[in-house]
Amino acid sequence: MINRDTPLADVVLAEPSVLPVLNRLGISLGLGDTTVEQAASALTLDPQFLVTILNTYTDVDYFPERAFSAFSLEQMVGYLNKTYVYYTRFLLPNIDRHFSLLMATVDAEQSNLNVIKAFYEQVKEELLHRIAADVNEWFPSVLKHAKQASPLEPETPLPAADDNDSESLENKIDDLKSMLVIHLKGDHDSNLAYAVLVAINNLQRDFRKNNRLRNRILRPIDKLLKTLQ
Amino acid sequence: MSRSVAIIAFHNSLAAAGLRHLLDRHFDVPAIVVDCQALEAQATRVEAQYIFVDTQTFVAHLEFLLPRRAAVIIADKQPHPDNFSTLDVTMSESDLIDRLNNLISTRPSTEQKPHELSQRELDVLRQIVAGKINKEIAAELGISLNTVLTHRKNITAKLGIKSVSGLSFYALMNNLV
Repeated sequence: MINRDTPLADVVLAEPSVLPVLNRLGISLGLGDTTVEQAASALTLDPQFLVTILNTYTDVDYFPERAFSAFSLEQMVGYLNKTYVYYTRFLLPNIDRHFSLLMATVDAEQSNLNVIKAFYEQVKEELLHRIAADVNEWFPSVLKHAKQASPLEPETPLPAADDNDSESLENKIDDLKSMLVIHLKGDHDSNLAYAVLVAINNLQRDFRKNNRLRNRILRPIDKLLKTLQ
Repeated sequence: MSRSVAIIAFHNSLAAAGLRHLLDRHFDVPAIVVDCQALEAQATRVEAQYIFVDTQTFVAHLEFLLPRRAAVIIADKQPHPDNFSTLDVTMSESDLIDRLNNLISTRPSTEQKPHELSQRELDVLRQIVAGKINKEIAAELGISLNTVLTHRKNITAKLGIKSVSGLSFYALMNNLV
């Protein structure tokens, strides 16, 4: 487990996929011997929040709902906003770029890549729509409700999360990966196909992990705040 | 995708004709009713995917049927001690259809690739893609809600696709719509 005294370099050496999480918070390579606590202090972040985010990201089974619900909503919303910026500026353009390169290598007559790309475009549009709605409407409304309501007691039980929808974006991103891995037909450049797959996998992993924060913490808190008003 | 063929070898010709009718009408599986003595020659000739036999025929052709265990369905009320699939042909028509659905949808085809759907799963997929809900699919195909859910589970397991929009693109990709 990562704690406040863990050097960030050790975290990234053990799990390089955590680097984008640090990047979106404004931490980049050249970590030296900076610990999690020192990095958090420099960014005026709650060190325990950073510890929890990093543990959640590196350990798929770790998701301390109680600990998360005790953090400030501004902090959680701020983190999710930065996560969305990372998707729109880096992850999605990265998938776009590799998809375009791969598309140029296939024979459109033989390959079904154009259909898979069309599905990707639909999923991307839905994701961008979700991001816009969260950033412009929902997050501000959650913060507004939080200001209007009395602060929640630390042990307040949260309403059950409702995130088992087969039409969820998470499932659609999973489906996109399956389409490429299981159903792609026709000759193609293997390296470029791998690059597309890795790019989609990065989105899938990041989205699944951070969506837990949105759906299992923020949504139930918002629901509770509304009922308390 | 090649079509499944069934062989029916019952001493009771009325039961055989009834089963043939159900397979043809509800499962799009053409069935050939054969004389019990001619079972081995006919089943080999058509490479039958499903071999329906009564208990008497099963015992008489045990050596031939044992290696074809995956294809064999015995007309019997009791479960078979060696776990051969059984079908109680005295059940009501709707129960029989449900049971056949289960037997056919869970039976790995010898020619089907792992990601290929059975004819019935394709029917369900088309209904899903058309935007029908489970209840409507059950009514449209004349099967129970549970059978629809089983088909949906099998479709997702075979294709690795859960969402309706993902399934719609799969259907488009494979000219199923």
